[in-house]
Amino acid sequence: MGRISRRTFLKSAGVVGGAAAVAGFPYVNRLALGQSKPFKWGYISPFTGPYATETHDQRRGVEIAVEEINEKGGILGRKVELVVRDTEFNPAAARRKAVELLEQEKVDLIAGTLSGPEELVMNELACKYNILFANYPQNVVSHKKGLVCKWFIGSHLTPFQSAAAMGRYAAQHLGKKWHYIGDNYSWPQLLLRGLEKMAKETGATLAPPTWAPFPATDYSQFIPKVQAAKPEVLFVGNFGSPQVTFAKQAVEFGLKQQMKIVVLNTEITMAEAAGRGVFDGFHAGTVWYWTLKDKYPGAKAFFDKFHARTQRVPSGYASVSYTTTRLIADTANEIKSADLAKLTAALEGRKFQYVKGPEQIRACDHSNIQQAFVLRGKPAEAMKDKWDFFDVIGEVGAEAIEPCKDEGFDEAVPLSKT
Amino acid sequence: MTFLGFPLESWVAQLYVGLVNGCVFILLALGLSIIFGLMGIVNFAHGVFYMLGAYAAYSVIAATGSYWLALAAAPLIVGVLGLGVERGIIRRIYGVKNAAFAGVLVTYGLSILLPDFVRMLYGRPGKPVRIPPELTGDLLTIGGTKLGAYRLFILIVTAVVVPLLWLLLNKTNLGLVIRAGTSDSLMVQALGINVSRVWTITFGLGIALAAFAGVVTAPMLAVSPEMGGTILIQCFIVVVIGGMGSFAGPIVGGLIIGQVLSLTSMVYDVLADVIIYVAMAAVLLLRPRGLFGVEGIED
Repeated sequence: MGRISRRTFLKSAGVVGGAAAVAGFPYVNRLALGQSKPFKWGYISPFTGPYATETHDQRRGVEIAVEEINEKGGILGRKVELVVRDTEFNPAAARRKAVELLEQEKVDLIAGTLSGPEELVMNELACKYNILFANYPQNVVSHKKGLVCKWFIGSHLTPFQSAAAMGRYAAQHLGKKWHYIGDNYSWPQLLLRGLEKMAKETGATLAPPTWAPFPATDYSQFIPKVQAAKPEVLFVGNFGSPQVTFAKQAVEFGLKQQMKIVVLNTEITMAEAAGRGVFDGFHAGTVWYWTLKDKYPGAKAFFDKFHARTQRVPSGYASVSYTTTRLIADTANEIKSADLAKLTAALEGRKFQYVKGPEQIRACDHSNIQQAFVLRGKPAEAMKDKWDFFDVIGEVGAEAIEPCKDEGFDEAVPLSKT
Repeated sequence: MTFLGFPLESWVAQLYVGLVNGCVFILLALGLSIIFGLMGIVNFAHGVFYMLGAYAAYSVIAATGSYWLALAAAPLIVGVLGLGVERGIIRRIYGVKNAAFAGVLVTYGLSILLPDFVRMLYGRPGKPVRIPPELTGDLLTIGGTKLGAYRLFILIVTAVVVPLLWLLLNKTNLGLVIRAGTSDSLMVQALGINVSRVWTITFGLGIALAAFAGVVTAPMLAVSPEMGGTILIQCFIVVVIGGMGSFAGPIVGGLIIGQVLSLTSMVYDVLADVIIYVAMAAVLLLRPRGLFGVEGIED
């Protein structure tokens, strides 16, 4: 056995001692590195289930935003750390995991969801735990006074905006004899309410709706009923895999030849899963489409980052989660506070622009006032590349949103003051 | 002429849709029933193998451009995978204490694991599978509903596959051993027959049937890793209504559930997801073993 030299001993002792110091005194270590406690962004969404594809896009939007925020120094000097949970597309699991985020992970806010029932759970928990809730999907909460928590922040369109945008367009261009088929849960039910209002406003007739069980895996058994109604325009309220199935079966049963089909909310992920040309002739509403990169510099920057990361084009759900994540961080940094009441008050009425035209958080109900876009599906032979599923043929602005007073809110009073 | 507010033609179209959907249930439920009948395993991964059939079809079509090749190859590919799963995993639970429960746990685990593999392999977005060009035409139009050639093809395929399967199980030596193994596997083993090999083949056959159902439905539905979830529950109901372990059970059960779902969707759509449970409860109240249940099987 060889002898250990004094030099070797000192080197070893130095390494071991240094390691022990780093491991044993993390507090001192952090101070030495100039770091503070991270800002925990509790992100909870259905990474499994029929909306899983869109949820993963949503996550990429959040990740890009967090990356940008951290590059600029985080939130008030604190690095933003994503703490992610899967709701399993189950409101009970969503509640359990959100409570885990709140009580064990001690997150600084909660964000996410991609289905109405989960949205309602998070909205309730936001009030119970007094924490900001950034709701990324279509907003099914800000439609009724007493339901929406004052710490809720909307990101996407509301069902009324989608229904108004597409209803007005349909009445003007496609026909006034309407029928609606939707999955039977909160979001499509609100879409129907929006359509009913639009029918009254435009003088259209709306036949009793057709409801499919949620999540629908097959629409074939509902199609003869839809055809018996003989509408000029069929509005469709579904999303994710159910929408893909519906689109394929609409082609198979010849619905496209018999009536105009208007999907109230779609994404490129669904057109991709259905296949080239399946959405040909469909009209569809959306919150954002990737060709907006040619119009808005912010959209181009976001598109480039997303594409470099995934070799895919971003969906609207990615753009929305990116926008709201940036918005909250930028607002907190601007007012130099992440205090719940101060941050919420600063967000109320705030105008901002990231990846499309100007947007605003409406003070009275925390809906996001923004553009909605009307798309028309392209035939397979007209697609210039594998992502060229739609043309943007229309744009609807703030006029589409439901006035606050119609839902019982006081227009003059910010939600946080109620 | 109308009935309950709908013209007669709409009812005919609805019955036709229900019949075709019933055929898909039959193909899926037969595999489930065969695996349960012989091996006593409630295969919670059956819907996942159905999904794998659709993805295998997508891959074969992407590689060759031929749906017809996919129709033949995808069940074979997934059936061979089924053989591997039986040999590598399912076999380990034979003879263990509470094997039936172990079977549920193992197959449930597979139903979580395999979709994640699919997501890793194929990515998150669903995959497009189109109706083959030869079958895109319409046969006839009833009450405004176009009855496409592809749905008739499903009817014909089911009408061919089911009798072939019956012949296999009832008129061949393999079928004889399978049926004997169902009744008393120990006795069959005592006669010098390699029951273990028969179980492997049976599991592979049931899985291939699930995959076949996946291939035929892929052009009509969204092909995604989650596609096997809801239909598996419906197939369990088909098997329970028809009766565990019988050949006729899944056929009659499939036809009943297809029509019940279809007609309820027309008459009172909001009940469409509840009615199959009501139908199951009603059948079980009247016949606890299901319509064609074999005595002793559920024990």
